[in-house]
Amino acid sequence: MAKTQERDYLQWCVLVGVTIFAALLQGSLLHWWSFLGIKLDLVLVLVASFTLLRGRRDGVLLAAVGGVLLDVLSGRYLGLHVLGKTVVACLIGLVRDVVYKENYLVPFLATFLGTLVDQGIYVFIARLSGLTIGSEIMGNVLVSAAFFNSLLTLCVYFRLAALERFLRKREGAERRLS
Amino acid sequence: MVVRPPEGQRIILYVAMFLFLAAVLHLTAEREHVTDLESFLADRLAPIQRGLANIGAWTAKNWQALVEWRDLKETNEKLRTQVELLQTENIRLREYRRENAWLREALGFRQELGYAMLPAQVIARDPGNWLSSIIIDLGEEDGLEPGMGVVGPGGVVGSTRSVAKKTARVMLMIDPSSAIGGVSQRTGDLVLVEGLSESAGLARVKPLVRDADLKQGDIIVTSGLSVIFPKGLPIGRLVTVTAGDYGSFAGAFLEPTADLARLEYVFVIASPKEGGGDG
Repeated sequence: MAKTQERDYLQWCVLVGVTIFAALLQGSLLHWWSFLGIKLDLVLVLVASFTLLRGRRDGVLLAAVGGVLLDVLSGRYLGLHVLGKTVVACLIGLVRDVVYKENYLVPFLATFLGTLVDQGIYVFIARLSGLTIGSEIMGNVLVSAAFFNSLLTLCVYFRLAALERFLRKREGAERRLS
Repeated sequence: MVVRPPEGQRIILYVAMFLFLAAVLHLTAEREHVTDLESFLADRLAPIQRGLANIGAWTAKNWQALVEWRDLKETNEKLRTQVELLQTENIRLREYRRENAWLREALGFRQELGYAMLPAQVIARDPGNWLSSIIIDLGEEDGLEPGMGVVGPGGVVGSTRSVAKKTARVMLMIDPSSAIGGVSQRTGDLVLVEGLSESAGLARVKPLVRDADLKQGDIIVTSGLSVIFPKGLPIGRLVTVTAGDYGSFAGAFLEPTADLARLEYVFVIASPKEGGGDG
């Protein structure tokens, strides 16, 4: 029992570490790899993928960690990233059990809609706070960001799913042995 | 049964054989012709000799190659490592060259401007697609305060907002909450340059006079009416100008003259008020 808890704790540390690294990457290197001026949202991709794979609780926690870090790195409105990403994790968590997660469309659509929700909340709150985000470019940025994030999710999700299966299998084998 | 000769006779026999061979060698050393028997044997043995010689040569050659192979492998690995090192070195040198060119350009710009400026390196950017800001490696300890103008090669970059001990956040001029007073270099019309978004990389231009004459390609420079930038710093070039009904001005977008997408170093204007005008 203690070993299982220790393993869960270790997996959590790794997940949080990866999310922190993704947030840092997003605020530095990723700017140089932006497509058509659109930056990939690595944290959102991880949140969407892990919520689909491990459930709402894990997704929300990653969203909180990644969101806080993005807010701190952005240095503007604290909570803007946290709110959007947490809502996305909750929504994906709600539909997680009623969709077939091995279908390519599921992670793609989850991230696509998730990005729209996340960025929509972001723009809405930013506008409420007095920022004049131009409506001329809003549609373009939203759709492009959603599309690029979804493509990245396709690359990331199935690798993470394979890793998750491997870990589960190993856990099962260890349990049987003990 | 073999009968062995006595010891004394054996010695005499060896001496006699030695003398006979010495005599044969002496007599045949300088001869030009071989006997028929010798010739016959030589001819018959030649193909075998050739074959053996070929095998010997082949073995020797390949053995040499086999021996050298290990050396070659080692040499190859060494050379490969050396090539990789040189390639890395080359990339680093190219990076230095690029940085050098950038710094020369920036230095020229700094001298041209004639204000006290603090060079800073860009260490991070806003992680999102809407807001546009950078983090620089100068802070309170270097004398930075919120509201200081930041420029780069090409012109206006933005202004400092939150300042920490060792770092500061610079809001770029394309950020939605940025507004800079500008003037058209061609007509002298006053305009307000407002940021649009990080991903668009453009700013919106709003004229401050009723019948402003703005055209595509017009250069907008700082007006000197605010306290952040000195007068005459290039802000950007108009890329889109839309006309409204009856030819009236509807809206314009400006592309910054400074390459905000590829900022690596910037200068914080440390003494804007000495220049007379303020941004």
